[in-house]
Amino acid sequence: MKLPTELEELGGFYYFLSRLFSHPPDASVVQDALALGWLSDKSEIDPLQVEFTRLFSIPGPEVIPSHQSIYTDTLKVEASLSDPAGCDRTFAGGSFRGYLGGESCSDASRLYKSAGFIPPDPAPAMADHIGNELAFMGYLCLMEAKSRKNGLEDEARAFKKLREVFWERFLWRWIKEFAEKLSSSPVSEFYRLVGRQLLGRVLEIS
Amino acid sequence: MVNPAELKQSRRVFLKYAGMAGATMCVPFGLGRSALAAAEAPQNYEKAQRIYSCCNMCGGQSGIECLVSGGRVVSIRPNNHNPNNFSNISTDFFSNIAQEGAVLCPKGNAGIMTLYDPDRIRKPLRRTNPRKGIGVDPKWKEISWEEAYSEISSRLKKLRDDGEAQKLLWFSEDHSFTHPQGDFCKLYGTPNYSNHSNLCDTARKASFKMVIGDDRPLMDAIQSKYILLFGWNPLSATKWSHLPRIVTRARQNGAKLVVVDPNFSYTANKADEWVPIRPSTDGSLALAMAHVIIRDKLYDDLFVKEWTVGFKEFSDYVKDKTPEWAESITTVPAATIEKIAHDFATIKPSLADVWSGPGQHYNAVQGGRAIACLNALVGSFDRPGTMIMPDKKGNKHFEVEADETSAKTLKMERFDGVKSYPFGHKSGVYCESFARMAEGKGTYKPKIGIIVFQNPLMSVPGTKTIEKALKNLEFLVVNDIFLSETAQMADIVVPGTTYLERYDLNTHWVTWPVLGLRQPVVAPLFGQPAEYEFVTELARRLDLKDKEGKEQFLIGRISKKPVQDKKAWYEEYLSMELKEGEPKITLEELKALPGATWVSKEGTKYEKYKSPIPDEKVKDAVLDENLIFSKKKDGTKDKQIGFLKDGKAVKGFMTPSGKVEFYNAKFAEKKDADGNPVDSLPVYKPRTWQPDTEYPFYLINWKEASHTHARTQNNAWLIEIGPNNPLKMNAQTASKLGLKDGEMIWVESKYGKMKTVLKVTQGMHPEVVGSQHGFGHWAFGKIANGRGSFDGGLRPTKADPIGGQSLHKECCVKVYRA
Repeated sequence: MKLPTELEELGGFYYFLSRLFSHPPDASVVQDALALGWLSDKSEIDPLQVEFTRLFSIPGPEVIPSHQSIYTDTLKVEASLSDPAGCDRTFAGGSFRGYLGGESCSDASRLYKSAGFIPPDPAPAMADHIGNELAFMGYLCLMEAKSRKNGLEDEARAFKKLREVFWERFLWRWIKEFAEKLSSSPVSEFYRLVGRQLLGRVLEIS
Repeated sequence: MVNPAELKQSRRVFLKYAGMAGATMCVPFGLGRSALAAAEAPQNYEKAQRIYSCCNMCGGQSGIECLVSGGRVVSIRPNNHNPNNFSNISTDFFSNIAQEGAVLCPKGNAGIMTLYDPDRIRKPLRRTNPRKGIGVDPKWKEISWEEAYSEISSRLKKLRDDGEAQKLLWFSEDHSFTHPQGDFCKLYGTPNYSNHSNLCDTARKASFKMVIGDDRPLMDAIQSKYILLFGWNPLSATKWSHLPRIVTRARQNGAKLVVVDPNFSYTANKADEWVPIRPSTDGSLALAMAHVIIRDKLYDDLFVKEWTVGFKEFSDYVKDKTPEWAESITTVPAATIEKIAHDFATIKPSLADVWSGPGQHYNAVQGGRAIACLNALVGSFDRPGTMIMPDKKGNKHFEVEADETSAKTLKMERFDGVKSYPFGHKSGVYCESFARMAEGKGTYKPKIGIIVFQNPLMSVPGTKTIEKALKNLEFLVVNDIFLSETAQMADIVVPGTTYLERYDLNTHWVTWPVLGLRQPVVAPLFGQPAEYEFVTELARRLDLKDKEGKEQFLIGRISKKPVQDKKAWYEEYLSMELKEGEPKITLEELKALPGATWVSKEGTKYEKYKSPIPDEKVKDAVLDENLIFSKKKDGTKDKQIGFLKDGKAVKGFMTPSGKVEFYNAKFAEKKDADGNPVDSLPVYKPRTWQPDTEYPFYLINWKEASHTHARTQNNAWLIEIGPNNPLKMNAQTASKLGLKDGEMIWVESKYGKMKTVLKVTQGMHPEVVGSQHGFGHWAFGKIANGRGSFDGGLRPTKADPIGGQSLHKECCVKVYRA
């Protein structure tokens, strides 16, 4: 069983990662990354922001999808109705992988709501964004720590269990693939290192 | 071994983030346990919610029924309450919709994949590389909405403060949120609001306008017995899904279908007769048909006498336009022309319609006018089974009036010079605009461009010119759902919404008053504002006011009070348009109607030109010679509402004579954009660019049901149906060139070249090659990128000189093995 301070530190680790994946790095984030030794002194903010955008924000060969739905969900499309012109322009229906807004989104939203968590990005299709899912892990750590500090052991156990459930049902299903892609991406040395940190955490948990 | 100092540092950093996050957290008693219970409970999605709306995968605006479960769209189906995806005449809709049900085309079904496309833009982006051009990395940086708004509005403010508001050019799609964009431009003070139509069918619009005064007649196929289509492919170029159905139904009813087209299109495939024709010569074919019909006295004598003018001049003109004359121009055998002419005039009711095939050449307007005149000869206007003038009654736009500052720049000449196009359309002239921008011509130099849901780099002919034009702008903003080729040239890109995330009112494509609601089926996925909210926010930041100092983008149109919430403000805006328009209901009332669709029970009316104008309306009107106009507040004449026929006030046709016009002497007083007088008759003149020994083939392009322009090629499902766009070539032609089916080839014009794959077929005129347009993206998304070939670089940036239509088919090429 982790001590509250250990939980807070772990929660902070998740929140820091969440911040790194949610928005381009700003001066404060760069300072923190320097303190952690994840960046060299010579790092400039502007190129890091462009690297972030290339990795997580715009389509292209270098993009690393940052939504769970893209990795784990299936978009089911119904068959089109018969084609009145007989031009063979109908579709039998099917399932497609790699789309946004899958069941992960609605499931995650539901969990966030029930746990009183307000995600950093409340946009509907972003509930399963890596930044939100990591922040939720951080939130559960902090809630467990707070419960423990307040002597609410049942609550603490529930938050711990919830964290395990969430990890298993959500992050575990895709974070390794995400982290591996990131840690081998040629775009950004900094985000490669972030990817390795994330991968380390994944392996540690598993 | 872990360094204790490093450990301390990391602890400090992580605890800082924990502190920031935990500062406001409290632990309500039992939250953890209840949350855990909820997590462990089985998924229990609420029953799917059914939301009616309108499609916008293309301009067809079909009605749709969306099933939403757990906040997600899980299915899109046709909306049985909306005639837009069933029939364009009311009797067919009212009688048969219940038994047959509406239809939705593949694009409509596939909309769900565009909504959830992972390549959509999610956040505003700012360019950090000042260098612009095709292939140049913009080095995008994600920015906040506040940063985006702040930069865009400060740029716009400076331009306006400097008295240069006219130097803002605004381009948009033409079926979505056009009214608030137009209002914005007016209040800001720029006359340069343009939209898509002149890329599509303004030549057709001009052709019909010249003959009947209405620029958008619709064919009543279902009741027709003879359908003659020039360069139109309604079975497959399904801009709207009811077209295949009505043509099929017409065939079931015994109608004969004849398709004149160089390409053996899907519609030609289902026709009784395919008439392959040399591109751009359709006008001469129509004139030769007129020659036969008049020569053999097959025309509708009564209609011609009662309801047309200029028959004599027209008859004189076509006297020598024999089928043999036309054969030498069109390659269509004279005997075929004789037969089509006879059938067209004797199998009644008949109709002749034309679209983009002949409509995107230099001589398009007069060619289309000759085709429109065929209908005049046989009385095929506004009667069952003919070309119907739609009863356009829907929402009513409340016109805003610019304040004194804006009025000064608003009245300046439009940059695209649309006034120099005698039958130019209000949508503007994209080609002229971009050509002037590129060449530094025009009466002023535009500085800022805002492009909403348009991709001119792929949709306006002459890629190099468009690239140069966009580079010449000081500041370019693109609002789109994808990072399109044009967006790659922008300084700021903001994410737009799909049609499933926003509002609109749709009134098109049927012959009687119908209005469908597009409404948000889900909230914008990324929390982005709908386009009308984007415009509203800019207007508010710029503090735009109307003539009376009223903040039109803040004051609710119904409540007359400030409405801070922009969506709520727009809902009032729409309510006002509905209440002031024909439906006379609010937005909420429209939502509550079956299928969220308002359908006038009066249905399609025929021979509206014969309708008498009530005396009280005549008393309150302005009479100018024979014509009757409604009256403006200041007593001057407003819109034409009728004319005096034999002393009686009737609606007539909205032409200068009140009748259908074969001939108009006053046209000759007008000059086209190239300085040539407009012909008073639908004179056939060859188009400017003809094949020669170096570039021996006509190059054409077309649409197919699987895709809309250049904007659906990232949709996996549609790509499965229509994966690419090979160049079609006639088998004999290919044999002469020694080319084989499936070979990679170069297609080259004097402006550029493209590499593509060859498809050898019997279904193409021997002098012509062509392909489906919209492919060959070099940006946009991972499915679209690099797929198929792009032909826009093979053409110049040129418009037809009468209507301002972009010339997508005015091109000659050579073809050789790659």
